[in-house]
Amino acid sequence: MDRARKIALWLDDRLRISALFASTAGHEVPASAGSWFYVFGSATLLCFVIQIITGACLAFVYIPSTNEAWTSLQYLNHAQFLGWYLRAVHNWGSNFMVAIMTLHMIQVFLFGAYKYPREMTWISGVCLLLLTLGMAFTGEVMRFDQDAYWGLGIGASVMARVPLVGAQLVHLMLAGPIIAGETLSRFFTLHVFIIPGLIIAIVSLHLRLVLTKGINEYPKPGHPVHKATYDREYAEILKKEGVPFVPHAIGKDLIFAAIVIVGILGCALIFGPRGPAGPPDPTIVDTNPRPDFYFLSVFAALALVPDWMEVFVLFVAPALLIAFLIALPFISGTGEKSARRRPVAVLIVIFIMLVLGVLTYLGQTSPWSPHMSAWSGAPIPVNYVKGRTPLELRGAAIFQNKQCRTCHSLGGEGGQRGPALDEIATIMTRDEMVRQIIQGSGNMPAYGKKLSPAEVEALVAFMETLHPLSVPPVRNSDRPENRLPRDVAMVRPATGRLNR
Amino acid sequence: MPMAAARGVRKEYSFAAIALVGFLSLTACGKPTERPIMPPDVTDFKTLFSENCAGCHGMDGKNGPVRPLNDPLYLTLIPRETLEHTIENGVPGTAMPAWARDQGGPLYPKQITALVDGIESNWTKSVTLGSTKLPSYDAGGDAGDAAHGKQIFVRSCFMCHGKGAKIGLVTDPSYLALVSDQNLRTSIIAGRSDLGMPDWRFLNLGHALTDQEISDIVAYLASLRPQGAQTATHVVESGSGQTGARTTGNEGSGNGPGSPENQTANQGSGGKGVGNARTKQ
Amino acid sequence: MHEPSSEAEKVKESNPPSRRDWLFAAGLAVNVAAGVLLAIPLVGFVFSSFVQRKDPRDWIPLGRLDEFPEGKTRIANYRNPYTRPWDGQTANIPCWVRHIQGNQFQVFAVNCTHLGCPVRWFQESGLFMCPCHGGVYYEDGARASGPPPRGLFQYTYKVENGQLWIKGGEMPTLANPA
Repeated sequence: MDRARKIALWLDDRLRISALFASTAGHEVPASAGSWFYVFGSATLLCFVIQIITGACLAFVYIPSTNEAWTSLQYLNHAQFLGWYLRAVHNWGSNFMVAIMTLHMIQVFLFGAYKYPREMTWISGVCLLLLTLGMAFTGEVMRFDQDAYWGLGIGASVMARVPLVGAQLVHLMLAGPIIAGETLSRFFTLHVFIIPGLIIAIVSLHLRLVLTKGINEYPKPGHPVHKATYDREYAEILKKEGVPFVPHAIGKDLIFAAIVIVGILGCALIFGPRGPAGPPDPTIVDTNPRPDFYFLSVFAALALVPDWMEVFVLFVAPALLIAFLIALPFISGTGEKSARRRPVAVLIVIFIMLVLGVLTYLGQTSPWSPHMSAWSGAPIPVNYVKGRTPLELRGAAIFQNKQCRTCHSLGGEGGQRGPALDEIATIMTRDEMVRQIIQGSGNMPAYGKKLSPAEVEALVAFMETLHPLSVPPVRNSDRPENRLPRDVAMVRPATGRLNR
Repeated sequence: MPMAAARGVRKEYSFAAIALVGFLSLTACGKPTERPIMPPDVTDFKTLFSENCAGCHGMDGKNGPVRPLNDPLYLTLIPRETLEHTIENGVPGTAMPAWARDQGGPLYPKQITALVDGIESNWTKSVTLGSTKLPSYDAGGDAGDAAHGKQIFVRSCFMCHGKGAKIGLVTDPSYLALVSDQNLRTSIIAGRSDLGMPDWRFLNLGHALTDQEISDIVAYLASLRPQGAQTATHVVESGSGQTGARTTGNEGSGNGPGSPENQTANQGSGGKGVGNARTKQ
Repeated sequence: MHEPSSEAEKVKESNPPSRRDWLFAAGLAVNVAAGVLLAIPLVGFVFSSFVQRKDPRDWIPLGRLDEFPEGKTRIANYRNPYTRPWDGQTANIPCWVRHIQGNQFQVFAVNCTHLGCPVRWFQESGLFMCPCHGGVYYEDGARASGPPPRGLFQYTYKVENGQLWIKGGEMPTLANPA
């Protein structure tokens, strides 16, 4: 016993472990910081550590070569023992990391923790946010499948829009004229060496700032920050109710850490890894590229904004946003910390989350995207077929054949780019339909060159049957034969069309 | 709370936990089961049919706007080669596009074979025809007599397909411009069991329509096709067991079906009537 | 002032400060120079692709003319003229070939002009459609609807020895339309 104690003391004397402990893990924090709201930072770091470990494991097998990457992912999924599970943990680890990091940021913002004297803690956190998103994008490329390939294509097309040096930036990003061998190596280096290295460096700074500037005390309404008095107040708080972080304030972090680990492992087990989707073969154009969920909101925004706003959304808005985040501790570096006294801050958070949520939902459902296989795969609803005339049936076939279904739905199936046509006859007259089909308008291409008169005739005949039984189709009022009482018109058989 | 009850509750929890962990690790439902199948490798009939054919031919091969394929009589009627050829090349001038890759469609040869196999093996049933002889699938180059066809039409078809009748006109020029003669012939022979149109045996009171009568009706309908309408020509390479050309309307009206050697160049939707669709303004 | 107490401070005082300063400054300068020497090849290596030294495009045969029926639009694949041995299938590039008539062609890049996703050709409706944000183009490549800022990118082509050739080798983008 005595000998063991001696050895321990010797080690401590040489390695200075207890001194290190006292100045780091054992540093004093306000007792109020031992709160459930303060667990997200440590959990984000935990996720990062999990990512490093699982990432290193995956690198045992993964081959960052465009010729082999997809095959090695397949090997991980199907042949390597537990390869699929490691991929799943890495994927879910990244999902959890982005989610918890977001919570951490919201908490820091709402608790006023970015205010004096913790400006640099906040700014280093903003850098970590950007680097984490960089990890998410480069990680998506590591899963080198169709989505990754075309995701790089989208990235290159975005770069190309940078004024003046667009073409050069595309070359720099792709490391060549096309997406090929060196592109993947480039993103591998970023994902595995450069960005993680930067993250480790900045996390060190972030943690050091937590030690030197102290953790934010749980804010109380009515206790605004003044640069002149805050340092003294914080020292007093520490003196009065300071507790060592380990072991007195870390309890909740530990519990939450365990929950996060179990959550990641559980999700990995139940939902499994993501992809890889089809092989990164550009000649398979039969594909539907989608980004991972972190970037679905950007993907959606690009579909929705008008042309002239695209440069703004792609470059100006992100630059403004980052500038705002960095400037934030200087704009409102003092004053109230408590969210109860900062309604604008709360509104900003709610607004941003709503915008991101709605855009992500839209990105997920992407109603603007054509349904490429609806024309040949989504049947005409049977009740639009039964009891129709031969011409109308031909029209329904033309409707499918001309791929109207790609953008217009019938019976809930088909694209949502254009309006659903289930009740089109109650909205448009025959002449309006013909004009719309031939000339197009708004977002609809003109089909005049692609339809023979007979095809238009058949198509419109079919569309005129698309109305509920109880609502008659609309008719042109400028034709005398149409000036009948509605109920009289209704009992006329569908075949004896009035305005033929 | 009494001790026993508390222990009981705890026991239940631990049971649940063990069961949950065991269930999860046994199933590991996240484990990817099979490699993704790329579009060129899909040869499952159900998948192929529902992605490529169901849009027009209906979910189960019937109740679509066009010819039902889930129809034993039709499958007995049509030669396998013709079915295959039609899928590969489509029927120019009609709503049936070409599906073969070398014709600009999405399907590979093995996929078309899988479709034909699937259609035949899933939906062919033996049809009891009794003493009635099944007419031949195509007219065999036999030009019908339009005048006689008109008489039969008025007698046999008018009830459903005349002006103001329940089912609606088949003499509508727009309709006729969009269907091939073969399609008309097939419809007369096989009917549309899914939509209630009887087959050739029951169209004519008294006796089943003869081969000649069917050709005559088709000739009559073809004569009503507007001048210069899209002609629908439908060709099969000879040597398919049947005669060469499954053919149909020619330039305009009145003519009989083309000669068996009628080889028509590709004239799909690509080069279709340009800009002449009327706007009725 | 205080008395020099330790050895170190004695040494400091005994040496003329100008020599220490000079050594420090010289050390810095030498290292800056060495650092620049190190940085030049590093920056050159990493950012070499920022500057494009020569035109990566070249004439590529797409196939015999009869592989492209007149009046039709067909997909054609080619191997990128500049490849690395480990490029694999990523160096196989598709394009849409529209044979108008005779020796008149249009060869479109598959990349949508909006954000580079692969457009698909729909023969029946005569439209190219993009799966990402719903860009639509007519059969002659003109923009029909959706967010694309212009029509499809077109390759320069020529007909020689019964073959269709295009000048390709670079991913077309708005900054560098084929």
